[in-house]
Amino acid sequence: MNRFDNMLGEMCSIDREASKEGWLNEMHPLVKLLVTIWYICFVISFKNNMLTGILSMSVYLIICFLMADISLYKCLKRMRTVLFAFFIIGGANILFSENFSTGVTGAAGFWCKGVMSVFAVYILIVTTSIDDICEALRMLHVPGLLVTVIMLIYRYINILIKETKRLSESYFVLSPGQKGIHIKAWGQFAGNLMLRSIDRAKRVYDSMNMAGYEWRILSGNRKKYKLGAGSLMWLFVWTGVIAVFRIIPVFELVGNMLAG
Amino acid sequence: MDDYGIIIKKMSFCYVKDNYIFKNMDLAIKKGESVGIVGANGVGKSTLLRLIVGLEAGYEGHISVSGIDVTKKSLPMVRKKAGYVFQDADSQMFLSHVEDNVAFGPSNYGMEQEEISACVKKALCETGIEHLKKRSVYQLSGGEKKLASIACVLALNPDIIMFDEPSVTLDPKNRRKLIHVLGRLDKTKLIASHDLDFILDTCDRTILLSRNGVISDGKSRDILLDKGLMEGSGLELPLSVLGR
Amino acid sequence: MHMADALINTGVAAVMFGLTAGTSAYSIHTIKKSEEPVKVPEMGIMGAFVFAAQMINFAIPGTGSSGHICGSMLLSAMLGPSAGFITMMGILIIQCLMFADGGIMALGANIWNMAFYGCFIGAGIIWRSMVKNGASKRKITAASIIGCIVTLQLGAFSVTLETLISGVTTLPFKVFVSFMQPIHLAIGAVEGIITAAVLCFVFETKPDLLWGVKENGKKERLSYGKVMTILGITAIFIAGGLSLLASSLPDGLEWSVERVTGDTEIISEGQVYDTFSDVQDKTALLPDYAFSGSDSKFGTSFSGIVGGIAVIGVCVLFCIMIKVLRKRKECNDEQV
Repeated sequence: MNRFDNMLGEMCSIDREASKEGWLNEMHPLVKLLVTIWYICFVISFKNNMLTGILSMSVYLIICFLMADISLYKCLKRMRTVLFAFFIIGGANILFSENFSTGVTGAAGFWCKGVMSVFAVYILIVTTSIDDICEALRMLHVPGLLVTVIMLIYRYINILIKETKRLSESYFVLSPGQKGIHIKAWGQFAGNLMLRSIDRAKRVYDSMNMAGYEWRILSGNRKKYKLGAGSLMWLFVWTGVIAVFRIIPVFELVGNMLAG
Repeated sequence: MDDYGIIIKKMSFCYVKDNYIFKNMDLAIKKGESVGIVGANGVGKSTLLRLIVGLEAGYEGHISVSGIDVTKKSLPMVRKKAGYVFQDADSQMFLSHVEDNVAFGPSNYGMEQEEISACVKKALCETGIEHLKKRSVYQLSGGEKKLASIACVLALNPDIIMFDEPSVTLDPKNRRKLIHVLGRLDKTKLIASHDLDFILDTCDRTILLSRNGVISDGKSRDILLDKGLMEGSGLELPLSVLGR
Repeated sequence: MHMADALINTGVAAVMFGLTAGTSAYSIHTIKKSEEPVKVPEMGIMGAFVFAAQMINFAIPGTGSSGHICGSMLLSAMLGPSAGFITMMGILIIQCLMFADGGIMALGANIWNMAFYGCFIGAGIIWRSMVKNGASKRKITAASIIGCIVTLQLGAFSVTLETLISGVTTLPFKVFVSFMQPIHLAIGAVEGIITAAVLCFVFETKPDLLWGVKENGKKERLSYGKVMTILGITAIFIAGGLSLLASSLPDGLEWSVERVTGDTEIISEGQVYDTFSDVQDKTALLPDYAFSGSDSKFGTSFSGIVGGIAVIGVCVLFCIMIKVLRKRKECNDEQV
């Protein structure tokens, strides 16, 4: 059952990366979230055939990857399924465009937009823990109920995956040669898992009540973020730079200057 | 009466109508006592603990904790006086970081930030896991999780702590550590467990439950080492006594 | 069905965010009104359950492939549509912000496509209307399969529309639809069967956990004939509706042939695309580059390449310099 271990290992390592020390990790989570959204907004606003413009937006990614020591290899490895999907969809674009060259340009633009927006989210993921994201969501006035549910889901994914792993191991030990759960056992297998989850939910509810919980919002007390000068500067600089790169063709202007 | 932490008088309780788990039960536990609750599967050890902290409602008779009657209204007060350590540490820690979990109780009771930090620090210190403060619950071992879940309960500084099968899933080293931590805690303790050696090591007094209620109540050594009594209620002598 | 950011434009993203925000506000209002506090941990843990259950391989008999669970329909049949919707929202937000599954800008659209239909149409209308007078295994099976198929069809159709209106693909409408719908019909059927299996199991062991089933309701039998009729009508409705929609637009191949032969039908085709591109221009918040003429047909030009290399080079140098300076400072601090 390698799939389960891979997933658990991956979650654990992303969690560790996100909560390690580093200047981008310690930046205010709301600032990081807003810059990421701002960036993706501007990247996807390019038409697919504006390749130079799209590529000029990579400046943000390059600076983040280099400054925060994010491994490009790990990023490509982790995001491989998402990136693969882009190639398929982009490829389909070539088939259905008027002529081959515009098709290829369109596909290339689409690929770049896709890859760049995924990379931007990746930067957010590996530098921000889920608690911090929840903190940012709270500041954006996302309802407390939703934030609580997100925190609980995240906390229990790990435990339920382990439980699923145990259950499916015990299933496959007794049914050698089967590739998946047999149709006769579908309901019992997943149903049992679900009933166990509900029992667990009741225990969790009990333990929350033992600690005096009544419709309160779960929130971490771990770090209290203050909107520091560094975070504010990061926000303003990138808001400006991204907008400038979107409106003015910086690459071409610099190229014209250099090439005469 | 002030000497008593828990008083149960003529208490009856059933999940299914007329199928009583407890019938006219009487029990009194003094402040500062360590009491072990033993009995075969299904005699209601956990139910008894849950009744005392009000997690099960609908009993007849009288239960009081530190002089407060356990009713729906008094639950916030009762639960501040009496803490409950769940068998499954993962149910007790529903946030991702140790520190957040320990601070959850105090912040619900509306304490100030400094006060919360002090409570967290004290609780972690009492369980000897200060070094785990910033850790994610994912990265804890079973023994560390158990101690952290005890710290979550200690953070509210209760007078009474109840433990449901505390030594289950612990390896010998962590089990010894837990015995040590419990020994240092200066609180009224109620421990429901099948691990008779654990009870022998941690409790001065033992209550033996069976389907007919309390069979025997007295010094741990007297009860746990009485072969006839133990085997009569479906249990065995502690392993340390059997010399295995 | 997770859409990426590159598949959507800012305008469409904003509209979908608006719809999702409205629905979630309604859902939260409903949950708070229902005063069932135990729901909160149940929502969180059921959400985690869906994550875990998605990793189970259900072997489909006779094929080498496997299916997985349809989250929104299952969650809502247990928790009710509102709580199910908020839970699905939580799942999708975590998938987006922890696994980069589905984009941030596309989050609104993803929640709409995958949670709204399943929770409010699948469970809120189909499931509820079928089990409200008491449930039986047959009714549960029918409701789950119909619910999953209908909601996946609606979701897939929304993905097609959102992508086409965003104008990021040259794929003709008909091609896109005839690709998306049949695939999701198969997926929906398999997910429906799994959901049915799970819900039937719950019905047999703890029926009180199911949402919307009338307590102690008389056990009304739903005959086989009735089930087949309902299934048949649903299938005809979907197939008929979609083929009507699809045939109103000629596909890519026809279109190119017509262009060569100069057929007049091209006008109607042109109108459709004009409407789409009109919508695109209106929903795209930012204009094109001021000097967009400088891009050649390959999307870039010589000066663009030179400039790109220069700017990126400067950025890299800048980063390296800052890193070296910081390291030196750390060394100095350690020495002190």
